[in-house]
This record gives sequence, C-alpha cells and structure tokens, in this order.
Amino acid sequence: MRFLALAKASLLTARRYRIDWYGNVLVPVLTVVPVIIALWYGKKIGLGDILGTENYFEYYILGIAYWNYVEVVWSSIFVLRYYMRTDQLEDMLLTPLTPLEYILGWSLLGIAVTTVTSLPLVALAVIMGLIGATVSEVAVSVVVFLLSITASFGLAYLIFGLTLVIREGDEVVSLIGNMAPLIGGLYFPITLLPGPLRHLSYAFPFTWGVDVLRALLTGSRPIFGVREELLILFALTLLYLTLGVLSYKFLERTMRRKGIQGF
Amino acid sequence: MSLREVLTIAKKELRVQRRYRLVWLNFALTPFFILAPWVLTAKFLSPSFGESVLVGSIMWYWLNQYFFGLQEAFEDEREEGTLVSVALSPVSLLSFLLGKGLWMVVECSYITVVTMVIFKLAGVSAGFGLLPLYIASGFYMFAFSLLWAGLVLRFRRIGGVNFLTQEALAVASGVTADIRAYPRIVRGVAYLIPLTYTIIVGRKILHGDFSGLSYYLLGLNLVTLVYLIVGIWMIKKGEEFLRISGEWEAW
Repeated sequence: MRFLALAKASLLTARRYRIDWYGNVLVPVLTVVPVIIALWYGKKIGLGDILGTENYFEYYILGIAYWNYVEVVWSSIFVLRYYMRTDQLEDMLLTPLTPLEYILGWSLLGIAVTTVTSLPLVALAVIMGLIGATVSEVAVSVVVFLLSITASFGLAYLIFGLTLVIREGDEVVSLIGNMAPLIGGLYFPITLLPGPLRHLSYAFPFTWGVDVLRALLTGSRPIFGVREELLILFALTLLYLTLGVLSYKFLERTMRRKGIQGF
Repeated sequence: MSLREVLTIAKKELRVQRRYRLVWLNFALTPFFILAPWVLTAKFLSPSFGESVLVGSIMWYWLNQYFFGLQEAFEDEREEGTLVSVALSPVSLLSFLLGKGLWMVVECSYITVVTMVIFKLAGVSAGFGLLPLYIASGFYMFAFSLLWAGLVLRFRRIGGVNFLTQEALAVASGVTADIRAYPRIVRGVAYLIPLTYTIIVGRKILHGDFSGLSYYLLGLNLVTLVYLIVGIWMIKKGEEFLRISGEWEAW
C-alpha cells in the first residue's frame, strides 16, 4: 500500500496547477468526437458492414475507454522523466519502493481521472452492451480487461527500464500512444489496414483485447474468433510481462553501473 | 533584439536536440499515426477530399507544434530551474522565443517532408510543391502562438487547456471540412483564426484555383497581426507579473 503515498503526492502536485488540472480532466471528453461522427455518418457510409455490428456507440466507447485504461498505466513514464528533469530522480530511487509501486502510484491518479471522466459514457455503453450479454460473456470480458492491464504493466516495466538507461522513454510512450488508435483498431477494424501495419498490430495484445471485448459486448465480428483471440491475448500478455520484468532487471543493473547523471 | 541573439538561441536548441536522438523518430512517425485515421477516411470517400484533409492536417500540425513549442519554451526552463538564467541573460524574452521559433521551422519542415512521403506511399498526396507555403505558415503560427508563452509565465502549466484549444481550432478552421458548409456564426469564428486562411490558401494552390487568393492572404496578415500584438502584450504582462511577484524560480 506504500504506492498510495506516491498517488497522493501526484494529486497534490496536480492540484497546484489549477488551470492545467481542469484542462487535463476535460481532455478525455474529446474522445467522444469520433463517436459523434460515427453516429452521424455511420449508416450513410455503411459502417455496419465494416464493423460487423450496428451498435456504433458501444463499439467506439468501449474501444476508447479500454484504450484510456491501458494507456494510463504508461503515464508513470512521463512522471519518471519529470523527476529526471527536475533533478529528483536519485531521491526517488532511494525510497524503499519497488518499480511496480512506482508504476502503480504514479498511474493511479490517471486511472482515477479516466474513471471519473469516462464513467457516464462507459456506464451507458456497458449497460447497453450488457443487455444482450450472458453472465459468462461478462465474466470473460472482465478477464480480458485484466489480462490487457497486466500486459500494459509489462510494457510499462520495459519502458521504465529503458528510460533509466536511454532517458527518452517518454518518446517511446508518445509514439506507441499515438500509433494506437490506428493500429489498435480503435476507429476501424485492423483488417482494413495495409499489410505491414496489420502485421504490426498483431504483435500488440491490446488489438486482441479490444476485439474480443467488442465481440462479446457489442456483437461485432472478431478478426479470427473469440476463443482463438483469447489464447493469443493470454500468450502475448505472458510474453509482455516476462519480457518487461526481465528487461527491467537488466536495465536497472545497467543504469546502476553506468550512473544516471544528466537527463 | 538582434538577429545574433535569435540565431544564438536557435543554435542552442540545435545542440540540445542533437543530444536526444529518439525524438526524431517520434517526429517522423507520430504525425502519420495521428492524422491517418482522418486522412484515410476522407480518401475512402474521395481521393481529392483525402488530399484536402491532408493539407489541412499538416497545416494544423504546424499549429500544434508551435502552440506546444512556445508554451514549453518557458515551461521547461522554469521546471528545470533555468528560467531565471534566461531572464538575467542579455537576451529579451521575445528574442528567446524567436530563436525557439526559428529552430521549430527546421523541426516542422522535417516532420512535414517525412509525413508527406509516408502519405504518398499510402496513396495520398499533399503536393510537395506546397512545402514553401507550409514553412511560411510557420511564421504565422508563431505569431498566433505567442499568447501561450505569455499565459505560461502567469499560470506555469497550461498543457491541458492548450490541447483542448488546438482541438477546438481544428474543428472551427475546417481541417477535415470545407468551412463553407458551416453555419454563418461558426464561419465568422473561423475567419478569426489564422489557421483557417492557411488551410484555404493551401487547398486553393493544390487544386490550382487562385480566385480570391489575395483577399485570403490579406485576411491572414491582418488577423495574424492582431494576435502578434496581443501575444507580445501578454508576454510583457507575464514578465511584469514575475518581476513584481518574484516568481521566476517558483514552480
């Protein structure tokens, strides 16, 4: 529970910059723009045939909310860079906390803000999705969500370690975060992507996570099949977590040998 | 203010940026991934619409870079505790921003060329001949962005509000639409935004339609001049506030 101290520090820091705080809280609201466009033009351009469902609202909101939660775990990397820039990283690393606690503590505020700002729309989408869903489908959806978050932690571990050595981990997060809407199938199925991008998206656990979640709760057409994609998601989650933990151990050792002067 | 001061700051930026290699990979790929959903969807409707949206999107990306760049110019220095050194140096805050802005022309030109090449490979052209126009738009976006530098001196952190403003401006200025389709009141707002004019001029040149071009250029210059004056005034007020309150080093 020590990570809660970091979360509290993040909250107190965020509250110090009032205007920025209000701006950041409103940013997730922007995610409804593609949803509004889809609802407006969806039927005209035959979006239902492309997505495999007429439930555009649930389709987009579930995808966007899912991605907001996956991505918010990586916000810890930006905090790490902030402490590097403000010359407080050594002090942070001297605290008796594990990297997992850093990632948890620094991303908890983001998770809370995402929950508060997305809650009304997510609740509506989930309720609408749950109407036709069975108990087992809901249970599997929860497992998919937890697996995805676990995979996200694995990636955060890897980038956390990278940041300690190459310093520019925030650039990696920024790049992956901006790639996601296109290659993660947030706005349209990845089957429409050109070959190289489609193959790249197969390597992301989140592509499978969001696809299964949508198939279960909105009845959209999955890429391969729910069962096959669950297996792929499980294998990729295991791979990401193992790679993340091992790479962090190696990178931390490298960082302690080389030192981390400068930023 | 002198050219030597401005070039010194631009040179400093070059040296700083050379230390961070990965950011150039981010510059090269991120714009494509941000803009692709909009551009490719527009191309799906018609190739010419795809090209128009790409021109608008690249123009908006220059605005995005300048809005964040000029805001972070002071924000980063203050965060790292070096803003007071900037204030004590014999370079005015405006020269400091001009130096940053000049370096950003290099950054944005690189972003634009790489993005245009990637979209060309994806089957959407933004007209390589428009590159001088994109670069010229940078100077207008610089003037339009000055107010963020003034605001950040007063409020320290404004990234969230800045981002929201950029998104609102993207909608109002017709990045993904023709503003003639907007209601009159929204069109009125659009004509107060320099980005609207740079997008219209860019699209007109791309499609070889030069009718009314001089009026749009006149409008662009007049509107930008207003923002330039307001921006400089806000920087002066921000600096005045810091000197009175003694908050140069407060973060």
